[in-house]
Amino acid sequence: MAERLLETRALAKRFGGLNALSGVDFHIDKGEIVSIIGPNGAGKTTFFNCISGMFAPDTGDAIYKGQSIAGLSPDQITKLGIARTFQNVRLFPNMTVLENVMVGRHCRTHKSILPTIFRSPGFIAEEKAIEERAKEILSFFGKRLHGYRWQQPAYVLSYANRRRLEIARAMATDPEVLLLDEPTAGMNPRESMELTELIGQLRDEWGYTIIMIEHDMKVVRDVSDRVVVLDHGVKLTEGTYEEVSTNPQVIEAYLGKTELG
Amino acid sequence: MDWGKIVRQGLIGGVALSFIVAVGLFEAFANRMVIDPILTSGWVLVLWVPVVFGYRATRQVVPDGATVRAARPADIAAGAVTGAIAGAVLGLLVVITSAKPDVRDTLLALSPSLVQRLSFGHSVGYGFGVLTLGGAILGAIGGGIDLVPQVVRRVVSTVVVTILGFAFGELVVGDILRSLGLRSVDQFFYAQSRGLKPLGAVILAVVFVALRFLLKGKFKAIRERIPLGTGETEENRATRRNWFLVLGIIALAAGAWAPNLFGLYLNEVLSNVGLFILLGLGLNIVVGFAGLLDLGYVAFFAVGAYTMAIFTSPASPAFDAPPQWAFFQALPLVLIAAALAGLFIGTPVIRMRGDYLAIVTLGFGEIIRIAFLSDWLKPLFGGAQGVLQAGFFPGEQRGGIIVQWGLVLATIGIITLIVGLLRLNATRLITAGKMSDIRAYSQPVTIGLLVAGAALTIFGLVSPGFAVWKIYGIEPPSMFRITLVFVALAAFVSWRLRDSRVGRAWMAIREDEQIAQQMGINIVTTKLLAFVMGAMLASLGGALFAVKLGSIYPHSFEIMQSIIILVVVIVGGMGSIKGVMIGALVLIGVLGGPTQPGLLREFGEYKLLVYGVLLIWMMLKRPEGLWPEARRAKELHQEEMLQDAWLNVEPASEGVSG
Amino acid sequence: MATETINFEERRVKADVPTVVVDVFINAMKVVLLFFVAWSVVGAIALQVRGELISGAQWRDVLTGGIVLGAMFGLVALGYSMVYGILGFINFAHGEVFMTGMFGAMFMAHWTARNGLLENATPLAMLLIVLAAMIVSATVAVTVEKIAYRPLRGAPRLIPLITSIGVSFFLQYAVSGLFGTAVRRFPELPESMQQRFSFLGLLINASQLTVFIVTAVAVVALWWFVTRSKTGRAIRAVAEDKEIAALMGIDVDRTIVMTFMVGGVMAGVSGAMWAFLYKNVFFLSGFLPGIKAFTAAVLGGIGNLPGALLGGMTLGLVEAAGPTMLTAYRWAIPDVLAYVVGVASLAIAAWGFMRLRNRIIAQTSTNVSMVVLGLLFGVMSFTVLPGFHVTIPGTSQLKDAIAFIVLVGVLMIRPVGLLGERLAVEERG
Repeated sequence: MAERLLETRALAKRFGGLNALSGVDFHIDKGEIVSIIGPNGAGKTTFFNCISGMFAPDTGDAIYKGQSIAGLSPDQITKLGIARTFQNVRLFPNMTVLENVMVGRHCRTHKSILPTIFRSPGFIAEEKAIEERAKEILSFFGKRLHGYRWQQPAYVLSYANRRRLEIARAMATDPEVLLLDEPTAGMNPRESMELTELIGQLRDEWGYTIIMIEHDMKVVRDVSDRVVVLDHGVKLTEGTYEEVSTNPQVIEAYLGKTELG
Repeated sequence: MDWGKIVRQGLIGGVALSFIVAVGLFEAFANRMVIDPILTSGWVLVLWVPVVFGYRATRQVVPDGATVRAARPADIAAGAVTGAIAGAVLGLLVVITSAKPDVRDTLLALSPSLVQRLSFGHSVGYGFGVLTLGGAILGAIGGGIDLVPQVVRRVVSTVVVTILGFAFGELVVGDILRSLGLRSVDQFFYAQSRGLKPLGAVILAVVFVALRFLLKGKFKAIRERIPLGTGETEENRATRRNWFLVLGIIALAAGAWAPNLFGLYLNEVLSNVGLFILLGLGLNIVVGFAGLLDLGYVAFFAVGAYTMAIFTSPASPAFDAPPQWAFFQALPLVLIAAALAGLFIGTPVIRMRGDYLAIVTLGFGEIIRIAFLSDWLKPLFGGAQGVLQAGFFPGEQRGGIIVQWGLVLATIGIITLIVGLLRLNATRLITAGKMSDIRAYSQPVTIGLLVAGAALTIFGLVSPGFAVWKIYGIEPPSMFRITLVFVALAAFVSWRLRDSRVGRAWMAIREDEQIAQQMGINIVTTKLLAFVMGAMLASLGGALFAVKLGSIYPHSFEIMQSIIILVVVIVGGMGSIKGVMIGALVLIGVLGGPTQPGLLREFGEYKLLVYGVLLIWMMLKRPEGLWPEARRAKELHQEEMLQDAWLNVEPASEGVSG
Repeated sequence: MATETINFEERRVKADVPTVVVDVFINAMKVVLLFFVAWSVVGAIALQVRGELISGAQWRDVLTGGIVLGAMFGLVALGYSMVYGILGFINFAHGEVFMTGMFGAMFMAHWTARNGLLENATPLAMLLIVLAAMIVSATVAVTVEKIAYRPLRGAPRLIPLITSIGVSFFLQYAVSGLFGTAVRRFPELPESMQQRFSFLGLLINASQLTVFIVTAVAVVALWWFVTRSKTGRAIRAVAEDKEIAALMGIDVDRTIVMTFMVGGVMAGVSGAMWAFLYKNVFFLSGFLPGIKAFTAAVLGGIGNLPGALLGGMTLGLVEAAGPTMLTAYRWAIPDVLAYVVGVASLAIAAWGFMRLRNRIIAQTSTNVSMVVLGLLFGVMSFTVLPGFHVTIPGTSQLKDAIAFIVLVGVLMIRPVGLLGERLAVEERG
């Protein structure tokens, strides 16, 4: 069996009277791609927020490589190797494309004030490395975020490119686990297909382990090793895409949305 | 014609006119001549109003917010009516004032002399008529502005700018001419009252109109010839860096030489400008780079000033035997004190929401001022009497800064040594394969740096006082020069920090704090760093302020100071180093600082009114500032736009969207 | 690909040292603040029992002064709270709206004094004075909203805040230009207003009673307006969620104008009372009370209207009693008390140490704080604290600092305020 990378035990989170998550057990092994699906308000994004440190879970634990990460701050968690993107794309709009990705390198670099002011050789080397790494990551997306785009502010990008840039920024933190929150939302079919392929490459070539929230079932089917279904903060079921998509409980949760699959 | 709009704009214009008059601005500027017998600057302050409102009354707004104006002859009439209404409202104010003189008990500016002035020495009825007619004429100009050919508009705008520029810049031009020994030229153009002579005004206007049309496009051509490069290649960056360096050195040299041209008053203004650039650059790191709205910035300025004063003054209240250190001895302590204050104030506010941070820093600013003022801490800070004789030289009745060139050389030597050692280390690491080979470090240069550094250090330390520059605080030119050195230092530090890992982290926090943290930035340390850097630059300003004035009082450190520094940063352009410099030059230079006068001394306390208006206007119209940092790539690319447009038509992706 | 160079094994969960240091420092500030509050309260009680603080009559004055001051803070705080609740920004200029109300009241008072109304028909004159202040303040508030804030809907939070600072400056210096920089005085009050009499066991003079009654009427009217009238319901709906309110057919812009108007009216009432009570009016009169009123709004829970009043009262009392309480530091901490505190502190330190051994990284800051602060206080309690006392001269000078320290303290210890904050959906988070 592959190495267990991330695991949650009875993870729970309440907002006021609402149980956003109640006792979710989840795990992912190194090199897997797991999709989390579920109707709106099922607690998928809350689940991501609890893993990535944006919220501390009320009870339960999140364990990353055998260490508890529940309640750590987002920057600590990112530094440990869990990076994420956001459902409603949140870039740094007034920074350039390249700068956005370079920010992602922050937690892997460390030159502070004095070397910066004196432009020490170490600083120059580090900046160079940051920039090169950022460009290398951006070139993963082919021509779309290349060349002149590097110097464009992020706000001029198209929606699809913003999503790509967000993934690039997360990649720049050298994550082991990548949390993608609806990576294909707002993309046209051709773009989603392209991204589906890229997600496969992210695992195969870059070695990331990927947890993905996705609504587009085609994407889910094409890339996931395993699918986890959440509903009302509870894990309904999990299994391969085929198992899940024929599960009567899941169909019930999506009642009325018979186009599933 | 849209009568409702005309009447509305006319009335608003009238209220604006009446406000300018009633608030006292008109009278304050009544004696400042623009063109000697013809035009006072008081009139300049009111004349633009009917023009602008005449224009506004005829402006058409198309639904999506863009303005499109089809010029029609009727616009002239509409503008004239608008202007006439505005003028009539002011006229009415004059009539009322003369009829009921006790209005003056409430509105102080409405004096008999004002009535006299606004009725042009005749009856109030005459005044009412002239004001209405004048309003109509100016309004007509505003309304018909689009009917005149562009060339005419260019000529007029050039004339207006030239005359106003030369009239208000009389001090600068006059000082320069006098220092060049051209007193006769000065007397030819300027009258005794500091206004332009009519003939001088005509000549200047003609010359500048001619220049404008002769030089049209020339500047652009020159700029295009400078090989700055457009792409972001390593080579272009190096070219730009070199140009930047050359320009910076030229600017510094020009700045250092400038005091020779000016008289005492202008030098005083200039040294205030320098001080505010320094303070502005510090606040720019906090507000502009990291996006933390620090309204208690003056606290750090105060800490710097008080630390400097307490350790240099022979009358220091904190010590029985005052240490009486020299400026540069106390400076490290000033920086440490400021850094500690930055940590102390920064730490509790660091996790607060942006707007709470603003109010709490303001609170801290006041707490610190109240502490300096209090009887309780009087044994330390002297209470309301403050600290006197700050920076006084031993045995002299005045103080300042002593620069020992030997120590300056030693400092340069040590920096050179460090640079050399770092290069040596880099070379070693590259040969050992521990660092990627980013640049070939030539061995002879490294050795040269080491030798030169060592030599300078040793020489400097052996004879620290081989040459001494004694700067008296009361000598504005020298103070300006030393301030300039600090400004250069601050600008250099700001510039280097901006284009770095730390700078990017600040920018990211400014853009979206939550996401910045999620991307692995430790927001606590990063924000504190900004706070501390800002505090240290402010304390440098405070230290200079202390020795410049020689005495420090708590009332020099009121909230107003913080706000004015904030205005400088905002008007210049948040995050823009050059913006802060130009902003301080224009605002502090022309209007003056909180307690310091600028070129237009007439503004007096009205400058605070103007600062308020500027802040509102900037936020409404140009929140990015007047001189923002040039975006490295502005152009929107069509392909992207099209993709966005496509998305707006069909925003959802296919598949299950639950 | 490039992942080969990354050593994933090195990535262990560990506490971030600078963050822990900062957290410990913040906790230390909280503890020290609470310690000083506790010390002054206990000290004041002890000194009072010994009869060394101030007399009962003085306490009564402090109390009435505090309540009256607090009532006025509360009214101004309502304006801050309502605007923050709906638009999510601090209307820095609200203090100046309050100040224009003072001027309106002062001019109207002079008018009534000139034609004898103030002397002969005092209640009518008072009504006119309050009305004038209300109209002036409300007009200024609505005009400011229209010119300066409306174009900024949806702008980042700090933009309207900076604008409101500009507005504040503008209003101050416009008033100073129009009416002069000198302090103007409210006219002398008729004899009937200067009587002192006993009211609910407090010795109070007629003008203070007037302030209290007017405030009470204003609050009741506001409460009726907000809960019963259609506009009031619209205001509450918009404060809850602008988008939904708009969908329900509420004119959001109009409702926001109404909010500013109501805030202005309340500030006007308060301004009239302030001018009436403290007599002196000048262009900077609104600045400090304004910030203090904002403190009151935060103290009660921003966006929370009962909270604003409660916060105002609390702050008024704290400020009135503050200078006296500061003198209580001259009370030397008894040895026994110090030892008790010391033992308790050491126990907390030990507890923190136990918790630290569980190695739950997320709790490091708390645990380290417990250990460090526990040890620190423990050691101090056995060395410095017994018999420790401070004498602070000129405590009344520090009155303004007390208000600011309350602000800092509230935001550090309980940022949602006493009664909890209520913010529009868009402004949360």
